[in-house]
Amino acid sequence: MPAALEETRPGVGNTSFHLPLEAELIARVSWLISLRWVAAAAVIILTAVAKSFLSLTIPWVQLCLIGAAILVYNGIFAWRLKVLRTNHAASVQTFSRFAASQILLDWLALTLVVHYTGGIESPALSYFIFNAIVASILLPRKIAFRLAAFGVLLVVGLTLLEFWGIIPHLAIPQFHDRKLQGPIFLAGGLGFFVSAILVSIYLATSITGEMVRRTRELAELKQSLEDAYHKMRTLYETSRAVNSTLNLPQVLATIVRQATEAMGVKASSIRLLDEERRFLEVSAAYGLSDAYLTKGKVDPQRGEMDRLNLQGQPVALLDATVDPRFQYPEEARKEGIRSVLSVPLLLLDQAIGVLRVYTGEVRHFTTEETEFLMALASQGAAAIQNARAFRQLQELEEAKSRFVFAVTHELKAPVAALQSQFAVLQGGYAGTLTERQQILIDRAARRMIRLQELLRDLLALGALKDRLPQHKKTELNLIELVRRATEIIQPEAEARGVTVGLSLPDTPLLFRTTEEDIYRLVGNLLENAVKYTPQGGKVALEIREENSQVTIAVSDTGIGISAEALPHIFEEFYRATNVKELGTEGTGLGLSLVRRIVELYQGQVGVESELGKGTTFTVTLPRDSA
Amino acid sequence: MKSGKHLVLCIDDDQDFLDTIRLVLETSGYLMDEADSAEAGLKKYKETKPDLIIVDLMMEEIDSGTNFVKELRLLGNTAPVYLLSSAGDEFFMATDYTELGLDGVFQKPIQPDILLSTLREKLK
Repeated sequence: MPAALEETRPGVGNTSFHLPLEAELIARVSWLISLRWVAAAAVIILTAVAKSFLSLTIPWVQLCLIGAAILVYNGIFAWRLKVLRTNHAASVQTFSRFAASQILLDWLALTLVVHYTGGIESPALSYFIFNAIVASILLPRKIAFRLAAFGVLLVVGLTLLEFWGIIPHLAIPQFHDRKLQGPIFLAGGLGFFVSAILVSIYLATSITGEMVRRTRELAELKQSLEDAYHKMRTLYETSRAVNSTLNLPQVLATIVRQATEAMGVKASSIRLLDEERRFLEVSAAYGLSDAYLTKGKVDPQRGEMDRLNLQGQPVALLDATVDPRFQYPEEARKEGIRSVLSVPLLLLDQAIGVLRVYTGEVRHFTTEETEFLMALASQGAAAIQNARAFRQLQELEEAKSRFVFAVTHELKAPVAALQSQFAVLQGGYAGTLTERQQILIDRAARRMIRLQELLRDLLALGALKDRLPQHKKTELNLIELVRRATEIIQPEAEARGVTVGLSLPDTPLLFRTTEEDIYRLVGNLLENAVKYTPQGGKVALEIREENSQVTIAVSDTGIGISAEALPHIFEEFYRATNVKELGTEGTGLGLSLVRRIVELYQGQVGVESELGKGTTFTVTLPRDSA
Repeated sequence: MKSGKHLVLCIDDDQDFLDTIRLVLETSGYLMDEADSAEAGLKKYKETKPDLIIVDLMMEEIDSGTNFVKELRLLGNTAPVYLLSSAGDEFFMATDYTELGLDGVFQKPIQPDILLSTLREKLK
């Protein structure tokens, strides 16, 4: 609960806690008790004055006794209030009843005063209005009316009893006999009138004053809530900016702008330590002139503020132009800077820079403002960490690309050269070969093709294995890519007497991918299907789009996969026994590549197969796997 | 065209490969000139003005082949230019070779029949 709310509960100690409504009632009851001390004293003093100075013929003993009685019962009320205050179980109702019983007693006491000061003619009669006001302030309208009815009944009863002579009518002679009415008496009478007005005003204003105070507090509370909301929003927006881009300058620029706007200051800046951790260099600034930004090196050795910041402490300067902790007071004066709040940018408890706000006028920064700026600074530190990590990843990616290129070149080049040489030999360009030579060369050339395929698949698998999520994919028409991949396999299928049937949607299907991934994925599935399907068999490829996912199914009427082999087919270099028996060549990496690609797209690949009947591979890829 | 024979300039950093091509070309009635780098290739080009050029896409560094082609165009070359590419080169896949003004691509390993039929077609 904010401090402001705590302060709105007068009379509530720290040890007891009450809801606002109870606290309010306690405060008012307490106020009523204080008023009653004054009222009791007033009864006794006024009686004494009336008797001694005004020489009124009044039953002063009775009146003083009434005053004393009020003092006594007020004492009891004061004690009772003290008890109730420490009683946490005391409810609003308890306090209401307590207040009502006080008012009842007050009515009685006042009725007695009226009786002893002339009944219906008593000038104190108008004081009933006070009781009515007090009841209205303390209690709900219904109860106030009931109490008022009780009071009216008392006065009516008193008047009637006096009228019927059941009790004596104690008229004060001076009130009726003009000869007895001296100037002092008139002054006293008018005093009652004036006091009635003044006390009414006092009562009414003490409640309206309270209301005005409440309204102001509410307005202040609303303002502070709006401020807090604005700051939360700023933090949220900054956090979004930090997470939505890895562009460090852009993130830092957002933070300084947000800091300036949210804190209502003249300018802001972020300075980061250079690589030697020697100087603080400007990384982003908002609202500062170039002249100020290029004023010179900011050296934590020379500026106390910077040194404290780098030790992890926030520093507030009331007037940077005269504060010895500020390194460039003269430049600050020229720039129109007065107060500065500077907080560290902490990364794992180590300061890597500072975030500063500057005002054009002298300003006391509150703890809240410092905390807010620290929160912004931690966002900045997070952004810097993200960007640095990203840069390292990029460097890693580049190093990897260079390595893959080198390996690819170094491994592929000799194989390609060898294959070319075999081709030349086989073509008879180096002279005619004997039949035995021809057979050996053909065999060697075939092995060379396997080696080339193995290299191709290994390099592809290696490249896929540590591919980063930000690998460049674009929106491509999946249908078109699959169609082209099928065209590549077509000659081999024809040579083997296998027909390849396509069942593709008519409309283009845009999918974020790379040409290579789809060629590898579909190419490997089709190649397997064609390779392991006997002559006259069929291979079918189907693409379906459903519930934001794409399904690619490749089925064949081939030799099938045994139940024992099925769990292993996606393992690297695994080749099923029936495949080996068939004598077809393969690297054992094709399905590993398929699985890896599917994983990269957060998709799934399933297989159903029956020996001798055929196999169906089903790949599902979510469309929004970016 | 020298002594009635067409001259082919072949640029590759793999000497074995150059020798193999030479065997095919020379037994088939062509003259061959060679260079082992893009730079040496340009020098040779200026000296001998070949009738056809075959250049490896990837030599000592990425894209050295494509840069060579750009240089050739600046020199006002009119001879047909063919690229040599290893199958499945990612870099090749990302390059649109017709944009470079190339006449075609030969895949490594080289297939002598395809090479010769292309040469016959281009150099009539």
